[in-house]
Amino acid sequence: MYGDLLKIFFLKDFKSNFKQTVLGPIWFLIQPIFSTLIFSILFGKVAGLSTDQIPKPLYYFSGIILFNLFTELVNKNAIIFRDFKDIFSKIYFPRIIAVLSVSFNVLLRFILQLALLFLMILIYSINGINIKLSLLFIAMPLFILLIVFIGIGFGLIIACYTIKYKDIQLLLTYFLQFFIYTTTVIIPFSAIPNKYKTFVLINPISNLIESFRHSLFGIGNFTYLSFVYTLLFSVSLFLIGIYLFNEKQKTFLDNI
Amino acid sequence: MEKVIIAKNLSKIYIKGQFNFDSLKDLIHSKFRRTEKSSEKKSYTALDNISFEVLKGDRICIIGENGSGKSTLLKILNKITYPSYGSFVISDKMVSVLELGAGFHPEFTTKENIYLFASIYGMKIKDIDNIIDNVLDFSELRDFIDTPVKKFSSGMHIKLALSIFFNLKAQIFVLDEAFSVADNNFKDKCVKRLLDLNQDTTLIFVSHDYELLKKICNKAIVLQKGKIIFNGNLKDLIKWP
Repeated sequence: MYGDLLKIFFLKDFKSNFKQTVLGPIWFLIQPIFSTLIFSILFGKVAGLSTDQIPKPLYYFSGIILFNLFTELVNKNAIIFRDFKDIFSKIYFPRIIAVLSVSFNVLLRFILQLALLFLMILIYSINGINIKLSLLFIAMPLFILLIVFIGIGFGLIIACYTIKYKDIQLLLTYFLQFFIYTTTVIIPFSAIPNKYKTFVLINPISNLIESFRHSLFGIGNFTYLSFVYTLLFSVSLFLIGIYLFNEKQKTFLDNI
Repeated sequence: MEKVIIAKNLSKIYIKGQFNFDSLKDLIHSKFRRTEKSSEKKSYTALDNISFEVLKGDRICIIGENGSGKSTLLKILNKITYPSYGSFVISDKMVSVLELGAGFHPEFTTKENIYLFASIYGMKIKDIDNIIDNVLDFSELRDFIDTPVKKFSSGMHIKLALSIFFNLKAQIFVLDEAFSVADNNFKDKCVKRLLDLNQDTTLIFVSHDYELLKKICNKAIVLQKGKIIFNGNLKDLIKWP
């Protein structure tokens, strides 16, 4: 019954992103392309950081789009009560539809970026660069799903605790900006000094970025132990987020 | 007659002053200034132990002064907020407009907003396809089908919202102060529409316009300070609050 509402909300978000733009969905690709360019020059050429023997654009682009998937999901879900306040306060519908529609929109953006990544891989392969697809390739959708779980879970937890105080939301922007440097988006796991490796390993986002790259290029760190840890972490965070959201949506209108 | 709404012992208590801090600074500030601040936190009873039943086909109006609990009651019945105590059962599909135009997207056209608005009320896309002509006729906005609603006047907003609302598939309709802003011509059309509702449709109507209520409704619930002080046939209500 509310499947159609999800569809219409999804289209609404999608369209309202591009009303009054000329380039439309091309914007989905411009940002990661520019970041990749800057990273390739700054970290690749100037600083000479390792990219695990694969072409710099592929290395940075794959990390950036996955990291963006995470941050966008956090950002969009963290303000879900604010964005939907007007509708939530007037009409009843299952509130989870709002979460799903914003999250699917972020996912759609990621899928377009992923398509571009595949195109880049294809072009590099034709030009003779050897890219080893690993057997883990079939598990790639799972790695993406776990990123989605962490993004939604974390975003919803923030949303539930920022109804009263907006401070955390303001802090979030800074946090996410710095957080990228604690992950393996820029520095590969193999190039990280041994004494810091534990910090990277306990970060599920780093684990997933490494696993994702491993499934595509056959590089990066992947162990079953860290995978099981990441799996448990992601699913728990997601369930906690959904549970809190469900509780909070009953009372939040009395609180704002 | 079949009962479509049964409400038992509904209460809603708001805590005054609990959520007045805008930022962490205010919160910390208030913790240090613990003079008479904490004793100021009083609870406010918006609804006080209300029980009532609505039968299928009732045309029921809810009357009361501002702050008597009308809006709170409707919010609870619409699941927008939860009662502090008590429970209720609604056994038909209910739709309500608590504020006209909520749910419209300003950048979207009339047509897109009809789909958006109706789907929020749980209608399927193929059912909306069937009502779209009726909505455009009733609202007299056919010429503006591809106009973004941000360019609408407030009157046009209301006409569009009400026209969609009257075409929703539901058995219980709830209207809160609905057409007070519309012009007379459109008002008359709405009243006619309400009078033409079939016998299986239930109507809950909130307004301060007593002439209008007399025309449309047969039963009344009168609220005062969160309590029901009258519940019965409208014609038995001697003293208007």
